Amino acid sequence: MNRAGDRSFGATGAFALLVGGGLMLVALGNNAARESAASAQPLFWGGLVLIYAPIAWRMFSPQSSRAECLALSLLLGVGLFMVKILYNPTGLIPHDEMATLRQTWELLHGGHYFSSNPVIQGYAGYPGLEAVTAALTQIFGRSPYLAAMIVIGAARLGLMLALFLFLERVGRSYRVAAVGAAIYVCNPSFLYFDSQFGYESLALTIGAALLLVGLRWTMAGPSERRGNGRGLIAAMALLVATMVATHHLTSYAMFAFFAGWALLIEMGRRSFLSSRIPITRGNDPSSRTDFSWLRGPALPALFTAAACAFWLAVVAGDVTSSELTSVFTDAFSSITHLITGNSGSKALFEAGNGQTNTIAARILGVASIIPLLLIIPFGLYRTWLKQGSSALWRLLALVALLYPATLGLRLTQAGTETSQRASEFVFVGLGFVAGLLLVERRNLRWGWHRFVTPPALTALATIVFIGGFIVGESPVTRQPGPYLVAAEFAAAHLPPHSRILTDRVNATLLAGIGHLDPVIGQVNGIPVSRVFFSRRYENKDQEVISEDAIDYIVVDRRFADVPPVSGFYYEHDEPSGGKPVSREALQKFGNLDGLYRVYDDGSIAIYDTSALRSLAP
Amino acid sequence: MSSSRRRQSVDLGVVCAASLLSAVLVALPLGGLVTALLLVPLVLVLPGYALTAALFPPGTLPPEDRLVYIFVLSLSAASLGGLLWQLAFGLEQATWTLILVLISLAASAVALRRRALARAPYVAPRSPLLPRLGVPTALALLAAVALTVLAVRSATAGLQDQRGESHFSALWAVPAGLGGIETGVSNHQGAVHRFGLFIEREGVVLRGWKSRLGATQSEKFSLDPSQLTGRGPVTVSLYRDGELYRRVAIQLETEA
Repeated sequence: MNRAGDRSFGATGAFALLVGGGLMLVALGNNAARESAASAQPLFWGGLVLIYAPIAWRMFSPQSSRAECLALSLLLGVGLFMVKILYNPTGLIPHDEMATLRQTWELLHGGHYFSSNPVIQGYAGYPGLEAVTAALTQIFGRSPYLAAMIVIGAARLGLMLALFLFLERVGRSYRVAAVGAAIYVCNPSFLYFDSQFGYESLALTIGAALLLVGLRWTMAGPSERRGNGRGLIAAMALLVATMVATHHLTSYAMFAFFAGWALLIEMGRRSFLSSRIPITRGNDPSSRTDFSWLRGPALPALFTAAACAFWLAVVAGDVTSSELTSVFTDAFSSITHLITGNSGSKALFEAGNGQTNTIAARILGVASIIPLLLIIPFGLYRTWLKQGSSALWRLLALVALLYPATLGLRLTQAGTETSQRASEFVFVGLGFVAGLLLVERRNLRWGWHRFVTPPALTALATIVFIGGFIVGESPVTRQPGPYLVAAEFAAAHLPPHSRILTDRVNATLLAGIGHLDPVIGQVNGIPVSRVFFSRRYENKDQEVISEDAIDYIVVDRRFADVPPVSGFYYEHDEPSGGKPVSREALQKFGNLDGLYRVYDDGSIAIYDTSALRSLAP
Repeated sequence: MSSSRRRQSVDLGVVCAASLLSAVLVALPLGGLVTALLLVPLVLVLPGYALTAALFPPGTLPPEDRLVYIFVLSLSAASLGGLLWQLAFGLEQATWTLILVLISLAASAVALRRRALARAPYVAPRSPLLPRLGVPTALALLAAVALTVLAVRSATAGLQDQRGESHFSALWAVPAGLGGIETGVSNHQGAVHRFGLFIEREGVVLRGWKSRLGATQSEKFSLDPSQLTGRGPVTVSLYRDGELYRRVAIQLETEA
């Protein structure tokens, strides 16, 4: 490719138009879904394919220039981010977004970090995203929603740019980066989860930037180290501090990555495991005469470890352990139970309320996994057993090897969340391996390969993209559903931080938008959710109300008819076992002395407990 | 400072001027979307630009890397600057502005000093991206933006239609002030309806209201303690098209 071609945007404009058309289809599909129209699914899926497939085809093509690949990578990232915006263009919806919104509201009104968060405890200890959003909200004087979308949209662009540059330098080819970026966006979290107003969405960008700085630091020769050394160290320190203050798991993943890289550099200096594994010293920075541990990835690993330890010890130890311990112990115990036969596996491709995917969607979901599983052994062979590899290549192949393990976690409900969250890291490895294997097949540029291979790869990648979304997102939450209210009333009329008893969905909305504090768990050994299931108001219910100082009870009457989307209404182990609550149990609140209904919209009623609370159980 | 040195520092001059101008814009009661968008760089661009310039002398980083650093170091400035500030003071509009402007100015000063000490004169690298952005590509990008705006508008309209089709009305009553109450009705029926609202205590109607409310219209009433004669809970009944539709009640704390 000549220099002029290298700097051409090529057909980026045409692809941008296709993305715009795809977004139009997605918007129409979502509108159709709101009306339960049959055209909802074809429009939605057609829009996604129109956004992804043409760009993927161009990024796989050997004829595309570097500037075009980089621009298309940004376009793909921002186009898929807009799909999330179209889900609800006027506000925030998912559970984690409500938690972040609540944290931002606390900062806007209290002026200080680290307020407790009633939706997700862990958010209280990681204020990076809320700080930036609050700063923007207050400085430009618009809504936190608009500020959030600007911050997350910019972060998405930053992520795609940093990832492209990182993969390009590691693979020593912009085409490795192009293919890697096209595969990376297929990770099940990319479309919605990583586009949401949540701390991980921002931390991924900071992490990708840290990878870029860490790579530059490690590969810097003596002259660059003289000129840029202090700047790189300061940049690493700043980015590590920002990342650690933004998200726990990204920080731990980055530490593991840099530490693993440092270890593999050391192992690659000699034939460490077997004579069959070639040394990588020639391609690693360890071949330089001035190389030392701290002049490689060990320095960012050290920074990250020190910052994480400080943050856990001084700032966020409690909230982090309470959040992560339950996530990992639940995943571990559910897998253990599955292996020992104490429980069956989760029904794959099924939402908590029993709604399932179509046969075609299931086939796509399974088909999306196969190509990714197939490239892993080839990637391991190329990076571990062939000459011309490096420690970083080997590490990225090992990261890709985690993919099958994350799939195993999906066999249980509790493990699915861990699997989902791991995908945004694992796909960096998968993207790199796919890019490396493809670009090294030089014959693809010539003969019939030139015409057949890019469309074939595009079809395969589109299956991976669509199937990944099917695997990662429940059929209930892919497109918009019914409209929920009451939280706006709470925000306008009920005192902030009032303690409420309610179900999981309303708790999220009332905490995020209404600024109330939902109460969960047990009091004196009594699960607080029993108040909703008992057919008559009993002493134990009174004990919950009095002892837990409940201010309001929020009752969703639809629970007498509609099964819960997530498999439960209030808590995992609730008495109804995810079946509708008895009408009698929900109606008992209407006839109770001392309990006053202060809000009623037919579906949702809010009861004031102030007169009831003072009664002895 | 020589003219070539001055030319090198034009970008930092722009950062300083833009930071100060942003502070002025924040202080003025202007409002409006354009003003708001003009202030976005104060949070997401200017501090990061100045910090990147302070850490990396010109020409030592590829332009694409510099773009990444500008954004993420802006995030660092806001989150870490705010973190330190809130240890001693509260964070509000003025203090956020002060923190970000100070970081931008201080980092620009460091960058300026580093450039002044640099031995070789700086030659700005040409961006590999912008020079080749031809007219057709630019027009296509503009058209794509227009299509995206249309898509967002369509999705917004769909969402509003959905809200319009959620047929219900909400009734509420909460304490207001010392011993008073506030009550209200919101019409989400998607059409005009006749409503009647009656506030009662001990069977005596303290306030009655009858009227039509259009789709998405609301009505609110306040009663002070002098109007709330009698004892016991205050009951509010809502009638829709002549039939009892909802009832809420409130026990005032002074009597609970």
